[in-house]
Amino acid sequence: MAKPENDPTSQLPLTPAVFHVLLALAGGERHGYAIMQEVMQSTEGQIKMGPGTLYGTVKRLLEAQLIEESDNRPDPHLDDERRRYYRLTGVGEQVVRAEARRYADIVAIARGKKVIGKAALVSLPGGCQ
Amino acid sequence: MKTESRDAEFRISQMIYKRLLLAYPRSHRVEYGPAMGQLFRDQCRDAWNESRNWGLLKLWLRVLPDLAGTSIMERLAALRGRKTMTGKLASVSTSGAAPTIVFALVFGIVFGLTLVVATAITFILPESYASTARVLVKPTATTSAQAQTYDPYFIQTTVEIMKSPAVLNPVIDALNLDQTWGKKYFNGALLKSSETLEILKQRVQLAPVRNTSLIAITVYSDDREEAAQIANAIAGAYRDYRVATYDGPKSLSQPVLVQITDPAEPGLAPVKPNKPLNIALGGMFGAFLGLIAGSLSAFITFKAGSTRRKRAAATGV
Repeated sequence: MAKPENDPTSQLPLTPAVFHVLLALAGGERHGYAIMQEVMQSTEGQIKMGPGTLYGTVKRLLEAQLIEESDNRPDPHLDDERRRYYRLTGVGEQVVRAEARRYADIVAIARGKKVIGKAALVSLPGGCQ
Repeated sequence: MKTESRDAEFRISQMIYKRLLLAYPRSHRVEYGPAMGQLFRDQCRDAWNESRNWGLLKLWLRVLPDLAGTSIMERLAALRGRKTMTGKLASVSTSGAAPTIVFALVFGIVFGLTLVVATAITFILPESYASTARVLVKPTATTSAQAQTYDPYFIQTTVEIMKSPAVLNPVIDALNLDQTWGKKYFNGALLKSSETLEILKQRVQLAPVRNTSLIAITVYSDDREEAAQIANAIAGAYRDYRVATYDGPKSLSQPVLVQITDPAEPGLAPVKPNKPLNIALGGMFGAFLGLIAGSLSAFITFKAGSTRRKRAAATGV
């Protein structure tokens, strides 16, 4: 993945794994296990990421500067200090919005052609609406 | 007891996973290895809470292809000097790496991973012990004429009686299996006799010994002592059944109709899983898979290389 450019659409389309990780981080900073759980819950168990895929994706996203590591801990007393937290960067936020819009446009086209109904919106990756 | 068992299985799984991380390039391992290990540990805990050993097995079946795929990608990317995981096998193969190197690398990784999977599964599977008791059975003769008559169905009938509630229910009661198995496998819930009976039937194997009047009662259990106790209890219960249902001449003293010739002893080693066999089969399967994957990768590399050479020759670059 190339370095972020000014136009976030230059990063698109994202792979499903990348998009799901970015969507998970759109809800706030998370560690690896929380990202994996978020992805699993939002896709109703359809996508279960293994450690290899998750951290491969995290590595790519860090290199592309779409996410960054965070030193903050939600509650240091309740959490394992060794966990590494990640959060979206400004560019990452723009990219995930652009990708969600792209999906929304595709859904609009599909609805226009009556390929899907309204209910299909909830089955978008990450359940985005 | 359960916690100890869980901890042991967690430790083995994590140890194996830690070793498997060697499949990744060193730089990736140093940067993300501890986090991946921790994530795997969390997944182990979830899998165990979901369905114990079966959950762990399902986790491994999900994690291993993930590990194999991503480690190959990372290795090939590292070989090519790329910093990221992007690109598929075919695109990475255009790097100009020699087909033989690609073959050796892919074969080695696939073979190694398959072997490790087979080993992991073998060690995760619950162990089962077998104990066998042998009994000598004789038909009841009510008259001297009957004593000389051969009953071809006697052994078969005896086997069926041994598997019937008339024999097995006293065994369940004597060993308190409703409670013991309820505590062991169903979180302390007291089992119904019919449920215990079904479980017991699945664990008992009865086999006539050829050309003799002996019947071998083999019982399988994850507890070696329990297997022997049940086998001996079935032999004893059948003997009691025969005494209770004896309808021979009343004037004579009751003959010995059942003799326990070989009481069951606790097994020294588990009979299942067959670890050497499973690992050997895993190795053979891994070699087969590695051969296919390696050949395919080498072929793609070769084709990509020849296309590049043709293009270079055409453009003069």
